[in-house]
Amino acid sequence: VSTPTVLPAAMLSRLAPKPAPGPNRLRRAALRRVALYSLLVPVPLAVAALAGAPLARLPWELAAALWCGASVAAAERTASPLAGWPRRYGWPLVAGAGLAATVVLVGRGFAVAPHGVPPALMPLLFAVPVLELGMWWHLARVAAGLVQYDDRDRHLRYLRWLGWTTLAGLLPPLATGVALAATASRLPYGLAGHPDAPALVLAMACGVLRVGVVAIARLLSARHRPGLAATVAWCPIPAALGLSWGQPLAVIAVALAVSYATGLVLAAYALFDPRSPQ
Amino acid sequence: VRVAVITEGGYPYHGGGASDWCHRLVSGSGRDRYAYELVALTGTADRPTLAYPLPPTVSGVTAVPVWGPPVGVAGRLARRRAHRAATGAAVLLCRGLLGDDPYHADMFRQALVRLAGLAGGGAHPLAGTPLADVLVDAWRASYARGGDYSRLSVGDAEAAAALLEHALRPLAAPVPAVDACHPTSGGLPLLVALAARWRAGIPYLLTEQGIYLRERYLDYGAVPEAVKAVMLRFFGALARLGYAEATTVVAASRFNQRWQLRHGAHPAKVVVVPGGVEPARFPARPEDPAGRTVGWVGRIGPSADLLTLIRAFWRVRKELPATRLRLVGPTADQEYERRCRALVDRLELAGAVEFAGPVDHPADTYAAATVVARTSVAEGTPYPLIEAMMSGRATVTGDVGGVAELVGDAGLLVPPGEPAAFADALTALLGDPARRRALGTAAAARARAHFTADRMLRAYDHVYADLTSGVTRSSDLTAIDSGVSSGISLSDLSMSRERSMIDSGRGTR
Repeated sequence: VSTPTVLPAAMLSRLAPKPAPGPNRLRRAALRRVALYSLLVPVPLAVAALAGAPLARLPWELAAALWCGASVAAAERTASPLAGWPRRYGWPLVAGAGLAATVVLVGRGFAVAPHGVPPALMPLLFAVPVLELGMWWHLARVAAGLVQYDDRDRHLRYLRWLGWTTLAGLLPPLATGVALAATASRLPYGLAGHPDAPALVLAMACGVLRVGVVAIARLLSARHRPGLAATVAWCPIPAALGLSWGQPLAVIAVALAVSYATGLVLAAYALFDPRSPQ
Repeated sequence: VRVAVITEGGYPYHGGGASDWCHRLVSGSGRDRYAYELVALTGTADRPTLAYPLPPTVSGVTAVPVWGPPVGVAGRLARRRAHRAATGAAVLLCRGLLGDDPYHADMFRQALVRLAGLAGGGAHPLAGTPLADVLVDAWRASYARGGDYSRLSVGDAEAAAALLEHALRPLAAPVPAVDACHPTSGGLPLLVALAARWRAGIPYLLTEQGIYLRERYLDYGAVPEAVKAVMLRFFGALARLGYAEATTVVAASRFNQRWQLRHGAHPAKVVVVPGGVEPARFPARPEDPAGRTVGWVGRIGPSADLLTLIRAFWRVRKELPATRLRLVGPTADQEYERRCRALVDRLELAGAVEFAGPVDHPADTYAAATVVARTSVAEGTPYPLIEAMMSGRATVTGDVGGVAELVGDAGLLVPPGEPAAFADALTALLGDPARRRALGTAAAARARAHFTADRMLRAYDHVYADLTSGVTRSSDLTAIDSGVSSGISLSDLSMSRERSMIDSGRGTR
């Protein structure tokens, strides 16, 4: 372009937002995040446990909560070539803060283990890498669909398939969490008589449901619905705050399950809406 | 005479050759009989700072952001109606892009007429419409008819639709009450002038310093090929429409004029007005400076092809070791400058090549240069070349665009992109003072005879007089008022799918 028209060329093509990442970049980014998270949380935890070192619970929990909040607040966007614009930070930040608060507050209800991290924290610590890889799979499929199809109807059919598959992947934590919560109230007599058993199972149910809430908030944020993600993230907080006033853990489990189910409906709306930004 | 000068990404917010030309146009001698309104298309909604002092002849500046947030129609019902109408226009627009014959050109025109009518209230006409869907369907229909267009995936269509939606936003730009519009390029400024013409019957004069369409062909930026194809078809159709609707088309060179004629401009409408600079700012200095220096003035970017100049200079240094190269001007592309510096280091020229950056007095740069070189691979109107000629410097330039008719026999022309040819020409001039002086004297005489600002401004006085005395057609206004195309309707096109898309109101994204 000659000197007089360098700027006009910039008006459209050069000032256009940078393309959203393609499948390969998404995969590399997901692997980097998994590696970083593993180095920050589960690996030190495992090393400390193997070494028999005393484990303080709060740092691990805080690290996991901050990680979840940050991953929602700064979620990569789906792969429409111009999807990166315009990027607004208000709602993603609200969603991220809410999710971090939920993770921390719910964790306060778990019984303190005599040695180290209570088992109810484990689902979150070890589910995050799986969540990252699942998110990469979903976003990569969206990106691939944009490239593969040149027919809008076929593309919409593909998106419906992807939506159902993604929802199917989000259901197991809900089913597991609800099943665990139900089990906690109907433990066999011998176990039910044990003072810690119902609380332990209920805490596990809360831990699993908490992972599901994180996954749904993350998906909604990546699908350009940070407001809905914030709704899902903040829903369980009133119940979690009640822990300080002696609210039973069962109420938290119900609040998480309700948030989770609501989130699934909202996720279905975002996934199946034909006008949703890809 | 009130004139709206419409610029894109340049005057008065950014400097450069075309901006300098614009500034000369609105502030030159004898301009006090005009009142100029500037309509500047900018990138984002942030109002940039002025790069030029506004002369008293400029009565107002309107910044129109192309990449700002979208502006919709107020009111739910009105918005719904506008979306339906805009979707119908989008169908015509996308179908009109697919052919170069008069039938498609009329579809394209009718689309823009409708969109200009919709944008009269300041709302961006295509915001919220399912333009990507319409584009995909139009492209698929073209395959069915045997069209040989590149494949347009859904993702490509989304990207192209976003670019098209922003590209058409200038249709909503407010145009002050003026007697004439003067878009300064054949791209987006044309849309402002076209809308003013269709809405208020204001005639316009189109000036192209470089050919906008040609420059988009040469470099559209890093977008997928299919997206580029859509946008180039859009700019091609827009240029043809712009030439057809303009009262007068001004080319800065015969080379540009040939492009305009090739794209449908009527020969009777096209006049050639070369750019010009003030001779007083660039006095001829026949004496050679101390030492041997090759000077270059411009913007550092890929189109300047400085890599060729540096490679040529490396060859020159083998023949004439004491020669220096001085590169003057701002950097338009940081990455390209890094590549240039890396090449300088690799060729061990670090002590001999100077990146001087922008300077306040370019005349001193020419005075300090023994020979001025220019290796651009594309040129609109190369003002630095005119300035160098006016300063009495011998020049070596690539034979691109209108450079040959500008230089004439007063400088050396070589094929672009060939370091050996540039090196031979530079070595010949640096080693032959008599020939260098003869060429410098001829260049100064030629520049003063043909490329002065006064001469350019006098020519524009005549063009403005012709423009404002003309009679405008009123048939186009009728088309907007009735909202019905004169020759084409959706039913003529048997676009049942598009009709259903419009009727179902899929356009509220």
